[in-house]
Amino acid sequence: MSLASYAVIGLLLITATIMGTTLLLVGRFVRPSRPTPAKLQPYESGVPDVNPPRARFTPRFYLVALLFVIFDVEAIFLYPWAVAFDALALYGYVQAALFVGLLLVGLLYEWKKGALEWV
Amino acid sequence: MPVQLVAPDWSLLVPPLVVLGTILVLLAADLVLPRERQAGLTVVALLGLAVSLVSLLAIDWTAGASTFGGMYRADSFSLFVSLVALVAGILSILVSAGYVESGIEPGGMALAEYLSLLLFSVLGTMLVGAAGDLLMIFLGIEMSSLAVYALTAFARRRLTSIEGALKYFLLGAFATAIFLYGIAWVYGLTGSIMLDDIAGALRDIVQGDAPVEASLLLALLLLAVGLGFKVAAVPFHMWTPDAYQGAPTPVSAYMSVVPKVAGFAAMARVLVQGLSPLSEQWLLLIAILAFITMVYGNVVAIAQRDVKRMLGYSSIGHTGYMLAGLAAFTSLQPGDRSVGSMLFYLFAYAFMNIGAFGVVAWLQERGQGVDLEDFQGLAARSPLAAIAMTIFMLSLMGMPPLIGFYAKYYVILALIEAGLLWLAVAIVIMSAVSAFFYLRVVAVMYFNEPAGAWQPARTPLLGAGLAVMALGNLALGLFSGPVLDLAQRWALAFA
Amino acid sequence: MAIEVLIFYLLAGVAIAAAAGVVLARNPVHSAVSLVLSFINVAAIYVVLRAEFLAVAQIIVYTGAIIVLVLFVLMLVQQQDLPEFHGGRPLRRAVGFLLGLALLAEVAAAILTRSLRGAPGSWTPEAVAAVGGNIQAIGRELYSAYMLPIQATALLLLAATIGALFLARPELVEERLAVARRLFTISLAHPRGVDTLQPVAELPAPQDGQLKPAGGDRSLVMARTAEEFTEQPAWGESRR
Repeated sequence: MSLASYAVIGLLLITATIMGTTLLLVGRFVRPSRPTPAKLQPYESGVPDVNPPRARFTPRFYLVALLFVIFDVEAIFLYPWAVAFDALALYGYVQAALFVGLLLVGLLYEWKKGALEWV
Repeated sequence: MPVQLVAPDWSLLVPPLVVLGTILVLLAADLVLPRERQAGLTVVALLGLAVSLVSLLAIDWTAGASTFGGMYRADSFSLFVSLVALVAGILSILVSAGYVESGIEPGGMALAEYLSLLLFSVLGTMLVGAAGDLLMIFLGIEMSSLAVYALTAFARRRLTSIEGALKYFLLGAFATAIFLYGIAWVYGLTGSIMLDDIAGALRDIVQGDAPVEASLLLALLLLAVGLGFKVAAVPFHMWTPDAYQGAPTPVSAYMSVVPKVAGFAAMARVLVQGLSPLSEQWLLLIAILAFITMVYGNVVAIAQRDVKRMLGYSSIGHTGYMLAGLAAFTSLQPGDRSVGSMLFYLFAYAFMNIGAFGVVAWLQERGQGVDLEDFQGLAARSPLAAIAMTIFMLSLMGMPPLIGFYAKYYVILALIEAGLLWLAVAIVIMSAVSAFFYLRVVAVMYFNEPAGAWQPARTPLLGAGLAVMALGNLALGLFSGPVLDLAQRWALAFA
Repeated sequence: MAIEVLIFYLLAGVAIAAAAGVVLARNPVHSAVSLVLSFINVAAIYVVLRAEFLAVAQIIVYTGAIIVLVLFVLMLVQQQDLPEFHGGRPLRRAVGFLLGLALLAEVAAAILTRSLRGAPGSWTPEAVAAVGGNIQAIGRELYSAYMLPIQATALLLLAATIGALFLARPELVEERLAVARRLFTISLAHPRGVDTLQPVAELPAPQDGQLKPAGGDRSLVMARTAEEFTEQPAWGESRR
């Protein structure tokens, strides 16, 4: 597989960049700009915004993200096995099973500890 | 290209597998048993480590067998590292028995999680000792330190605990990145991550008096710096005092020994086994590191009032002595004492330092703090505890016939044989300096009047652990021969 | 060949510029976005080096998962609580800068004078193509020769799970929540926590942001602002 096969993606990227910037630039110069204080206010369903835009998240999101990272890595490791499992035969299967089994322990642990519950 | 599927020799892995099995049992028990009925888990963990210790005997370590394509080596070096890790693990659990369940740390500590993470760390250290390639060394070190980062923060409602853990974790992660970068360079330059292959490739590269390439020196430097963080050598020690002071006392005891064992085992594997053709370059580096480390640790420890922090700085000083043992390396011949003296020092250090932290924990369970003042009049209140602490302090100082003396003695012997007389002299001087802060604890215990409230408490396992360690300091000091012989067989593993 | 080198320099330049942006940006969210840019460029470099699997892993794990984690942490922390950035004593900053320069010089010297190169392994481009590609080759190698590291990685992830779970669990409010769960139901779907048909006038007014039962068969939690909800921990009453 040569690098040339990625030329299409490169072309796509370049096209997307040019189109995006062009559209924004054209809009910038074509549109009328007559700001008034009322127009400059942030708009939220007709209600004036009272809370600061960067609301504080609850730690439960953090926990979910943390577990997501761990299982994301697991999924990445399983992918090469999935595409080569025919060559690896039973040996590879047992190994992948061991790998998943160890992480299953982790999942079971989280589950029983209630980490997967949303309150 | 056909896949080569070779069945591994699982029998060589029995000791780490026993530890893994114990971890799984602990986790399962945590899920099944309610928290009030988990007190027995301490015994389960102790039994698991003891069984693993016994299973070490079942393997023929002199054969130097290896499996998993040479990634796991069952040789005399990995035997000794496993031995130290398991013994230190057992002693740490004895120290933590009672402390974890008690209300010393606000909010308490979860026993099952505590024990399983501690065992994970022991397992990682055993894997480092047995590693045959840089990848396993990396994974082992990570397992060994990752668990300890979490353990350091186990007193979650005490800010100092979290602060210490954060510093430890950030600098540890930073060190890991540096170490990995070093591995990448070594792989690029030699084409292998197997330690023996690296040594072979380097032997071809480093021939005659031609100057060594800058890239090799950079790789060496990155590896040494990364491991320097892990063993807390000056100037990579910044996390140590805060982490030791902030962590729950049994965790401080544990992390002063086992992660250090992992770091030194990795150093020996990487530098002595893998990069021995470059020894001319790294020997000087390690010798200088050893000197700065022992001077800094011992001098700064004088100013500490908090005993845990004092022990943290003193542990930096001891890192310097151990590095000095490594710096005495001359050749891979069986007569070389360098790595053996370092291994023996680690073994001795487990008995001295875990014991000292154990007495601190013992005091904490009786309602005392961790400052020097809290040791006032301990001799009047509990003569046995005072005697134990005296033994640990004298042993850390290097008083004959305790084990600490022999540990230093063998390092000095190795240094003299290697012609590093200045470093040997430095060790003697620094031991004299260390007498100041070690003996101060003894003086406070014996010559001051008791002060503060005293709450009697029953701590049978901790008491037994302290007794074992105090006697061990004495007995293993007087009869240090067999252990030393075992440690001195390291060269067989690397040759 | 020349075009590949050109592409590499372009990608590497953007990656380094973005990495500088991570350090220099004053707004942490800007730093995180710069980090994404840097990660994506590194992934593209992997593609140039024909390490397609690594590129995908980089995108999925780093740009996907790790950045999400970073952003969550930024959202968890109130920006005004953070200490002043770019702090530190002048001497320390100068020493840090000099040490960084020294390292840069060292790495540059190592790269520029390097003549050594390890012998390439048995996976030549032809061998990789013969088994069907990059990922197939990695799979074959990973699950045969590298069995022990794979399992050690699984153990490492398990240890990380246990440690993270213990530390991230907000147990401080766990007991409070356990009580609340026995007494109340919490409704996020209704603006004032009402989930049965009850005239609003009958509901007791919340006091000092405290949770209050609303009477009736089914208790209600009153919450005037979103923050009263977010104070609840991610953990339910422990099942044990």
